[in-house]
Amino acid sequence: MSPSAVATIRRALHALRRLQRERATAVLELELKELENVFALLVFGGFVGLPSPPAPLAAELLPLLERELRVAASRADLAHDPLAALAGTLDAG
Amino acid sequence: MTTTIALFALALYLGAYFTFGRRLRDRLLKSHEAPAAPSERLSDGVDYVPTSKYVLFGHHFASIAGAGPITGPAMAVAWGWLPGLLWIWFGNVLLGAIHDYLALAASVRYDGRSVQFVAQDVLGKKAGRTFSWFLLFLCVLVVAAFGDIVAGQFAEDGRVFFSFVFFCVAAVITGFLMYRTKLGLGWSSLVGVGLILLAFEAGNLFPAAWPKDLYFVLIFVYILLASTLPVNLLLQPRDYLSSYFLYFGLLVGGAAALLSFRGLDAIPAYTGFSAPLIAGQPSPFWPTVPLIIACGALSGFHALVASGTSAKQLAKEKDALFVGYGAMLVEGFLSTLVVVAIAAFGAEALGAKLMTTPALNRFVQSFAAMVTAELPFLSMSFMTLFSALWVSTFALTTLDTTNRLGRYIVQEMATPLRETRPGLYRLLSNRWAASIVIAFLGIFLARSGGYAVLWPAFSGANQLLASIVMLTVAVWVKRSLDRRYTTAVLVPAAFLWVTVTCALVWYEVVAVPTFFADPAKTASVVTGVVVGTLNLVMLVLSFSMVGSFFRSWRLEPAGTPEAAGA
Amino acid sequence: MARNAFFLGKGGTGKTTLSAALAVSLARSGRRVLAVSLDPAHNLGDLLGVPLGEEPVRVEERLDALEVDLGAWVERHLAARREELKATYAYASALNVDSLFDLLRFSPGTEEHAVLLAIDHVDRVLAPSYDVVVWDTPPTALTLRFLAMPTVSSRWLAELRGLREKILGRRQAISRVNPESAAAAGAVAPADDPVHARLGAMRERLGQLQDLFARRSLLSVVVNPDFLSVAEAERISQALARLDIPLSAVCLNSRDGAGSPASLAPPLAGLPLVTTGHLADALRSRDDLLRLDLAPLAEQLLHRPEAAR
Repeated sequence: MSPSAVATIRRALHALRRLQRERATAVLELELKELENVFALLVFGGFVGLPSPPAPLAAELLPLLERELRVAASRADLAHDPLAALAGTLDAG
Repeated sequence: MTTTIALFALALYLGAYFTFGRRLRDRLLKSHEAPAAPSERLSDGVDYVPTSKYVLFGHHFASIAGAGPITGPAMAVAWGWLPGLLWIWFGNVLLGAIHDYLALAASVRYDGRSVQFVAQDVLGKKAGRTFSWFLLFLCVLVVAAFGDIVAGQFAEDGRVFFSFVFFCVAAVITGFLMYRTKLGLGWSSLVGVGLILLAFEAGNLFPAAWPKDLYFVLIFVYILLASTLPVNLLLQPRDYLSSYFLYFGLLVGGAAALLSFRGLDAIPAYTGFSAPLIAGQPSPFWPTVPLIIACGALSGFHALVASGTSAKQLAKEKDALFVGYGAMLVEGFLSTLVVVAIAAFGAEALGAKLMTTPALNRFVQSFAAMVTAELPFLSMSFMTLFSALWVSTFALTTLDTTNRLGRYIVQEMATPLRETRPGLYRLLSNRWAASIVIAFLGIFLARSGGYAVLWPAFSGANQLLASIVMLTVAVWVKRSLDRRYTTAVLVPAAFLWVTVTCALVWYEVVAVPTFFADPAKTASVVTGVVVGTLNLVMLVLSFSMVGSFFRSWRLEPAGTPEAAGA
Repeated sequence: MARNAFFLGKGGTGKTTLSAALAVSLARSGRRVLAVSLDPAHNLGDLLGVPLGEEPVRVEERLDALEVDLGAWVERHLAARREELKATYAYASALNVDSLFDLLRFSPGTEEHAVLLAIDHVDRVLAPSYDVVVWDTPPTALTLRFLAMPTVSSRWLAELRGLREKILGRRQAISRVNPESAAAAGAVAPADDPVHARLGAMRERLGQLQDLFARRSLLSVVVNPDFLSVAEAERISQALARLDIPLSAVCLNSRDGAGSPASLAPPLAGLPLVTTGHLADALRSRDDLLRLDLAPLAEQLLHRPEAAR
């Protein structure tokens, strides 16, 4: 078998592995982002009018929650148009 | 002959991809000049993450491949094997694949917004709401159609039910191994597949000879359970394991079809223009074929899926051809295999009962016969159970995921009621209430309707969704892309809308009355009222959609010569 | 372990006077005492006759005193947060850091948080060198808020911690299958997660304060023989009951020598009543404070057993 064919097969198998990995976690990732979004809202909600821990507590956690803030910002956007993301990830076939 | 057909399908799809598809990409979309994809421009490590097109293809294909591309064509052979095949080929290439591809591309240009958003932007708010209504009806009708199909299969082959139950157990165990232990994906998958084979054995050991009604109840319970359990417990590992069914089925099916060289003599190539198909009534091929063959040729739901996560993850816009157009073509190939299997092996599998046996079993037996004929190391007993479980699993997966989706849609659509009718709003947004209503309604319809009349209703909703998408895309092309290609998109869009609308009018006038044939059967009458009303509402919405379309069509984007001159 | 005494009550009832009196009498009787003023009015220094600052000042042989500058504590707290933010955020432009801190400065919760930081500092750093710490509290509203804060915050922190563990669990599950996923980056055990650790540390700190208020302190409420101060004392007693912080005594500070006020209703009625009588002459020096007889209170403070945990 020529080396390029072997390389192609190897790439194909690699892609297949990545694909299966993604299939095994897509819904979990969606759920995780929702949890992180909720966490961010619980901590920082006070800044946007939700009942939330006292501001100083939130401020103490703020420096450690960069990812959660980004997820929350992304989710705020998604919340306007979530249907497709739900349909795509839930695999309603 | 089977080989010829399979090869022809391959050639047709590949040819369409490399000529038609490429032309769309290079001349219409001009993807090589397009701005960077949102995954690059808006990269945030959360949703906008550039992903390999192979991974996206696989994910998208597995998302759109369900029980649909199998069931529809299995029913369509009533017209003979040729008409269905022609629709699967040309409907797919000229309508379905374009629809998926352009929906994905539009979504990419809209920064990954869903196709519903695009429709709203292009055609107006009414289009967005109409989209939601169609989707909601789809969520109910799909339960009705698939519910009956699966219950029927359970009743037909007693092994399937327990195999499915054990498959769910296998999924839970595999999930535990994958997510809670350090076993890793590879070994867990191996265990998972092993457990699936065990599930087959369990099915063989515990054949259940239960009445179909009991299966309806069990399916209802299943929907409620599966749509409320935490996703890591059942849903995620089950989706993962079921992908192996798809790969195996495509692989052995494709290999068997290409190797068999069998004549397609189990069914005539053409039985007649109007075969007794929908609700037992003579159904004219045009316009009713979209009510039978949906996925496989064209499916509105695919546009929604495509514009979901795929649009945000495409690394480059030109990957959309492979993911959107390509995946749909592969689905078409799957449908081709279904027709070929039935047309060539149906007789030896089912003999004279071929056209009277329910569509799913028709597929199961024929497909099993085809595969075991060419790959004798697989037994008939194994293949029939495999095929039945393959389709049942995908169908049941659809049932509980659309339940989750439906819950969300109900709540979303009830939002305006929050101020005016808070009590009603609370009821509708209660997740149990929404779940139960959707599931119950679906199963009720399934039981008293039967798939022969409910599948077309579901398919109709699906095709109407597709027609919104096509009309949206047509206006989008006119406004934002090259106006010279507008006709190329408008003609299929118009053809689709006209066909589907005529089909649904036919359905309302010919198929729905069959529910009222015997006024004594209340369940049947109620079903008729429900289905008839849903259908009517969809027709009305469809016409108002076209109104929006014409208004948007005439609207010129600001800054064009026409606008300046008007 | 130092014992703590807090005087609560409506403004003007004599909290500062009684705290100073208790501090001086305990010091004169041989205990090492630290008197702390949390009240922004800062009358304690005037009463003790010594100008006070943020560091303990020797007032007399066994008595030190200090004034907490709440404004300075707020500034220190905000400065620490600002520095941390600037250091850890990858994109400074994402947040307008300065306007965020202006918002924080005036947010509900900032003042009482500063008080708690000050109390925590005194309790951990300074108190071990003394036998008794006597606290003069700020106006009732702020006092009740800072007393409540540990309890209220604890609940939030417990919830957040639970949710954090769930998130970490999900991240672990994903990373076991797909190590390349973005989620895998944060997939650590709770013990290794800085957020979880910080939540734990915050809870720990607040737990210590809760412990201080509920178990290591003697709280007494000061009333005058008038309706308003008694009404306020009743409200204070109810608020403390909700927080499970025991109120130990009522101090009737009668400036004109009149008898006990119109009957104290339960639960105030059930508490030991310490009456400090009228002083014929005004207070002119520290020694005059000893004329206020707080022996029963001192007795309770020094000799009651530490409350069981």
